[in-house]
Amino acid sequence: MSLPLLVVDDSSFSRRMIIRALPESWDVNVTQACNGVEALDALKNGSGEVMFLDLTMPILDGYGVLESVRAENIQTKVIVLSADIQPKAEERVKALGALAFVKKPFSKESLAEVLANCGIYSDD
Amino acid sequence: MVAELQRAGLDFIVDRVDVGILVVTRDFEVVLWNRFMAAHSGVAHERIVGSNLFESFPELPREWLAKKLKSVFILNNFAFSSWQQRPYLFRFKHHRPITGGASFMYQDCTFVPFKNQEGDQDLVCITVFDVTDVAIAQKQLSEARQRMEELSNQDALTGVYNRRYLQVQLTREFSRVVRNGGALSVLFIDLDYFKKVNDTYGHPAGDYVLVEVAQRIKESVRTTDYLARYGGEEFAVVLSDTGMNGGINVANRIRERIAEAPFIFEGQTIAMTASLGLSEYRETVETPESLLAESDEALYSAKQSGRNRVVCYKAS
Amino acid sequence: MTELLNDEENEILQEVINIGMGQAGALLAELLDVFVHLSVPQVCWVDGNNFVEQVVQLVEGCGDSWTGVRQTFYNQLEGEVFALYGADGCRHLGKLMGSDEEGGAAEEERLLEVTNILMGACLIGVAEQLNREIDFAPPVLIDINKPISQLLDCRDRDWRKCLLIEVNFRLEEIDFSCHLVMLLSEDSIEQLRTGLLQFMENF
Repeated sequence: MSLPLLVVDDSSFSRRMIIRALPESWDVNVTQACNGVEALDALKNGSGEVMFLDLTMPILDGYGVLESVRAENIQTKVIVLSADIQPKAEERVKALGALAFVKKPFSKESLAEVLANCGIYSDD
Repeated sequence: MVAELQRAGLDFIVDRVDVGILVVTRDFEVVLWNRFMAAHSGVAHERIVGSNLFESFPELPREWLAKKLKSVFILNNFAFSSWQQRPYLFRFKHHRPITGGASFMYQDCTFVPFKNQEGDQDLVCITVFDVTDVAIAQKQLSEARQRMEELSNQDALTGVYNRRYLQVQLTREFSRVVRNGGALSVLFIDLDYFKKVNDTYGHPAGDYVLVEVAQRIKESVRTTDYLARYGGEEFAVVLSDTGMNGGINVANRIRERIAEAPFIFEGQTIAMTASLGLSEYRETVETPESLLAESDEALYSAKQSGRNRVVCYKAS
Repeated sequence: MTELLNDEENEILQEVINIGMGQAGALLAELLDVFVHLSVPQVCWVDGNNFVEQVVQLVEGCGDSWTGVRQTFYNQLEGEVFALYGADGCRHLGKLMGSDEEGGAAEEERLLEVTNILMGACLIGVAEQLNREIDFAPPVLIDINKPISQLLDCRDRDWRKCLLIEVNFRLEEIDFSCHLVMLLSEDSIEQLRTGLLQFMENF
């Protein structure tokens, strides 16, 4: 069965880039969300066993999503993909439970490496 | 050959251009020091290159420069310093020893980061522009502008504010009390039978009385009040932070000061009294204009009821 | 968003700006040793007639007490950038810049310095993503405690359209906030487009 993958980013361009950079052999069922509130709804529907999460978004930002995930004890593996690359941003999201922090712009290779390191997916 | 000539030409230009150019390392070791810098500072190229900048110039703002360099290197971007905030970086004499007006050279500086040819050392190029002429011209201009502004707010004869400026200030004070609460009152002062002074003693005498009256009123109000000549022989004062009770005291003081001693002009004694009308801000007063109108109405009552007196506006 | 760039180009632009601002934020965090809160950058096209209104709307700047600094940038990308500080926005600059020297000139100097840093970091961030060259003229203080309409007032506006990018910086722990309004001239749109296409090729 395909893995439910949730891609959260306010930029549709950015979501497209993320989806294009996914390993080809990875069997996923992608759901997209363009802000934190939509992301939480999708998570509650079971659409996000793994979530790629942007930080700077309108309505509810990535930090807010991480806080709710923790407070409501939602089961999901979170990888943050962010243009905000301050060291403190990385520290904070990891303290809030994110498994990895990927700096934008990123390459297909770096994304594959992060997925492997987190034990989420490896194609060998 | 061409490259060599170009190289020599560049060195020549950097050395002789009419702009100060110096290059320092992260630790302020001087790497380049052009002729402009040497000529104005009296510190020769041979003496300073290879040594620390602060050895030759201990008076430089060390901490400020260190911060400037830090931001230039981290951001890899230009930084600037302008004479308007920091008149100079290096204290040099200026180019106008005779017609000057400044005792030092005003400078604009630019800080540009770059790397040495090997790419292993951070350097910053500092350019120092002499902007003394611009600075002097601009200072003269802003002094002239300020003077002009003062003049345009003044009544030419008496030197107190004019009607236009009083209205501007009243509007400002009015919106302040509307917003923040507090007291505000307006006092109108009109000289009694002033026309007779002009008719009897001549206009120079009348002008003299107006100047002296303005002076006496000025001595009776605070510096935070706004005194203006409102019309011919009519003055107005915006009394900030003052209600009716305080206003009455000020008004009576002014009335007494005008009446107590006659004015002496070219040996002639001219007695003078004034009528005064006072109004204060209340929530029902909607505009600054209506506050003025109430004060004017009170002044009219003072004239009607016999002059040389103070009348406060009473809402009917 | 515009007729001057197509939808695809606009989307890339938004992303390039996000990345540029992110890099600027990281540099500022390093330089000032603070955490920077970045807003979602707003991008829109303005013309000479609606420019001031648009800015007032973007920064919700209806108050009458703003401090403005202006800086020109030029080379392959050219335009002007305005830093707008609300009444409380720049009160604690001294703390931020590690200096508490008082007096008008010292405070103005700090204001220009921090503005130069913000503007430089943001524009260089964007220019680097686009692989375009950019240079700066010194920042100039426009005025203190004036309505925005007055700060941005200029009589000879001879441009038709330009690209406006607005981003809001807030610093944690220090009461500081600043709106940067960047205006890119119509003449540099071709350079911008070239840069956007190059950026895409890197993916």
